[in-house]
Amino acid sequence: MKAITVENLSKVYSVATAQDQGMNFREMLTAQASSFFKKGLTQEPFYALKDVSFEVEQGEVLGIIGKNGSGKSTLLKILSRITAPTSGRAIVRGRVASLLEVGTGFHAELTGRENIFMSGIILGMKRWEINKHFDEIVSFAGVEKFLDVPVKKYSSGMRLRLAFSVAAHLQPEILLVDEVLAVGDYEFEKKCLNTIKKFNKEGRTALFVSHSMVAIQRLCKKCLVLSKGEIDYFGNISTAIGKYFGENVNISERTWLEHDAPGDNEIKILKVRMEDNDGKLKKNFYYQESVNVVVSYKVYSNQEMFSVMLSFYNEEGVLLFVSIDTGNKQWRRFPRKQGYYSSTCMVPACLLKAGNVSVSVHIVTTDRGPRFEVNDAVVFSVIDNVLVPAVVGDWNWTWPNTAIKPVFNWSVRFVKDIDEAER
Amino acid sequence: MQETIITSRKSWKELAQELWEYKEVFLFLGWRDILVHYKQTSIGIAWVILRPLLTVAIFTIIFSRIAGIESSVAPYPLIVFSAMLAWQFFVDMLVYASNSFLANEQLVSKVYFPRIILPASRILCSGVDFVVALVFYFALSLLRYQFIPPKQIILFPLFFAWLVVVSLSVSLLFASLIVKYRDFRHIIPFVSQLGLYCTSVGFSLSMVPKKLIMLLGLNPLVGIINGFRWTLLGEPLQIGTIIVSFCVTCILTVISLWYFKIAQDTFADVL
Repeated sequence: MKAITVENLSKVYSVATAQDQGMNFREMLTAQASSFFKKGLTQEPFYALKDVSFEVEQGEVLGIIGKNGSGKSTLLKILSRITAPTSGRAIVRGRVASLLEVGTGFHAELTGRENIFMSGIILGMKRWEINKHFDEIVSFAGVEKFLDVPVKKYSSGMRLRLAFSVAAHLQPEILLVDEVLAVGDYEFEKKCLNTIKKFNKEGRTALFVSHSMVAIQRLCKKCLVLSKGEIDYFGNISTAIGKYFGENVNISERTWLEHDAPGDNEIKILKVRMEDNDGKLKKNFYYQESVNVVVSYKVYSNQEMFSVMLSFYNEEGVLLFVSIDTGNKQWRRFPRKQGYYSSTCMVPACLLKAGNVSVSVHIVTTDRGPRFEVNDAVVFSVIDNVLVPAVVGDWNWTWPNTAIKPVFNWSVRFVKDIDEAER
Repeated sequence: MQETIITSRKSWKELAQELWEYKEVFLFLGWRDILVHYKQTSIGIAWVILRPLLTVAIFTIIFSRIAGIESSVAPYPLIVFSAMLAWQFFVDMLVYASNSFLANEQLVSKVYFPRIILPASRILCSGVDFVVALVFYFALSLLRYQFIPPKQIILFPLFFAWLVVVSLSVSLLFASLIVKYRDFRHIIPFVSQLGLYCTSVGFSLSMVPKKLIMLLGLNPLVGIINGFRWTLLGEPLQIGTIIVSFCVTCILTVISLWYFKIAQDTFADVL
C-alpha cells in the first residue's frame, strides 16, 4: 500500500511573483497595464520543483536531501498543503501532520497548559487526544511546575522542550519533518531522532528532510536526492549520499575576486586550494599521501590577531577533526598586519580513510572568537585500494569501519616476566 | 482511510468540507484570541462597555445637546448605542481580522488549515465583546430609560447574522489584499475613523431626506443599523435601504470569496 504518490509535481515561481513581494498596489497596477501592451515580454519562470514523481510505501521513512534551494522544503510544503503546486498532483493516504518548525501555534501570552492545547490542535490533534496524552506531554517536557505560567516567562530551552513534546505526541499516519533537528542541542537531537524511530516502529510513514547525513542514515533506508528542483536519485541510502556528495566532489580549488570574496572589511578569503607535497593542484589523494590545504587571504587592518581554522567532514557529515594555524607557535598572539597571507595545513599521510572529505574554512580571532566561515570550501577524495601493512598488519579479515584510519606507533618487546613489564 | 488529493486548485466543495474538518482549529483560534485579548488588561471586560459608552456620551453631547438633534422614536443615547453595537463589532473585525494573515504569518507559512479560519475565528472574540455590550445596552435601556424593546426583537439575531457576514466579507477581502499589497493596511485606520461619520451612527434614517435614504444604503452597515434599531427601538424599517444594503452585501461577499480563493494558494509564498 502506498502512503504517498507524487505524480509530475511542479512548482513554478514566476520571477514576477518574487518581485511582487516588494510591490505596492500602484506598482502592481502599472505593471499589469504595461504587460498588457507588451505581451511578448514574459519573464523566465523559476522551477522550484520540476516534474517530480515518486512513491512512498506505508511504514517507510524516506529521507530527502539536496543542497539549499534544491526544492526540499517546497516539496514538504506542497505535501502538507501549505502551498499549492503549479501542476501535477500528489495523493496522500492518511492523516498528515507536518513539523516544519518547533513551536508552531505557540503564543507567548498564553500559559504552558493553554499552549499545549493550542499547538496540539493546530498541528492536527483532536481535543480528546490532547486530553488523553496531556500528562505524558507535560512530564516529557518536564514543565510540571510552570504549567500555569505564561510561556513568555519560560527559558528558550523550556519552550523548545514543551513545543517538541507536543509534536512528539502527534499520532498521524504520515509525518513530514523539516530540519527540526537543527535547532536543538545534542540531547534534543537525540530525543527527536528517537521519536521518529519509535514513530516508524509503529508502522507509520515519515518524510524527513535533513542536512545531517548521520541522522538520515540512522533513520532511513530509502532516500530522495533533489537537485535544482528535479530528482537526481531515488533509492537506497548509501548511493543517495554518494550522489549528494558527488555534486560537491572535486572542487579542489576555489578562488574569489576581491570584491565578492567571503569576509568583511578586515579580512577576506581569496583562495582555497588542495595541493600535494610538490604544490601541484590535486583532487584525488592516495591514503599514503599527505594532503595540503592552502588558504590564501588578505588582511586590511593591523590590530587583529587572525587565525585560520579548518574543519574536516566525511561524507556522512561527521566532523572528523579541526585544526588551527596558531598551533604553530610563530604566529600565536601575534597580529597579522596588512597584506596577503597564505596558511597551509598539512594533513599527514595515513590518516583519512577512503571517501570524500569536505573542508570548511573558518576565520577566527584570538580575542573575539569566530569571524565567519566558508562551508564546504573544498572537497577532495581519498583513495585507499591497497591494504597497507602499516595499518592492518597481519589482520586478514574485514577491517572495522571507523571514521578515520590512523597509523600509530607501537612498541612490542620480549620481556622475562610480568615484573619487568611493569617497570 | 482518508485520502487527500493535492492539486493546483481546490473546488468550493473541497474547501467547505475542509472547513468542517478543521472546526476545532476555528474554535481554538477564537478561544486564543479571547484569552489574549483580556490577559494583562487590568480592567478587562470593562473596556468592552467603556468604548461604546464614551462614543455614546460624546455623540449625545455634540449632536443632541449642542446641535440639537431631536429623536422622536427613542431616547437619543439609545439611538446611538444601538448603532454602536453594530459599528463596534464591524471595526473590531476590520482591525483584527484584516491583519490576521500577516499577524499569524508563522502559522500560515508553517502549517496547513483552511486559511479563512484565521479571519473568521475573530468572530468569536468580537462576538463575546458584542454580547457583553448588548447586555449592558439592555440594562441601560430597561433600567435607565424604562424603554421596552418592541416585539420584533425576535428578529434581532437575523440582523446580527447579517452583520457577521458583512464584517467577515470586508475583513476577508482586506486580509487577502494585505498579504500581497501592504498599502491596504494604511486604509484600515482611515476607514474605521471616517466610516463612523458615513454610517448612520449619530443620526436616525428618519432624519435623512427621502432622496438620500436609498443612497445611504450603499453602505451595508446603514441597512443593518436600521434593522438593529427596528428590532431594538421600533424605528420604522426603510425597506428600500435594506434592499440596497442587502444587494451590496451579496456583491461584496462574492467578490471577497472570489479574490480570497485565488489569493490563498500563494499566501505562504508571498508572506
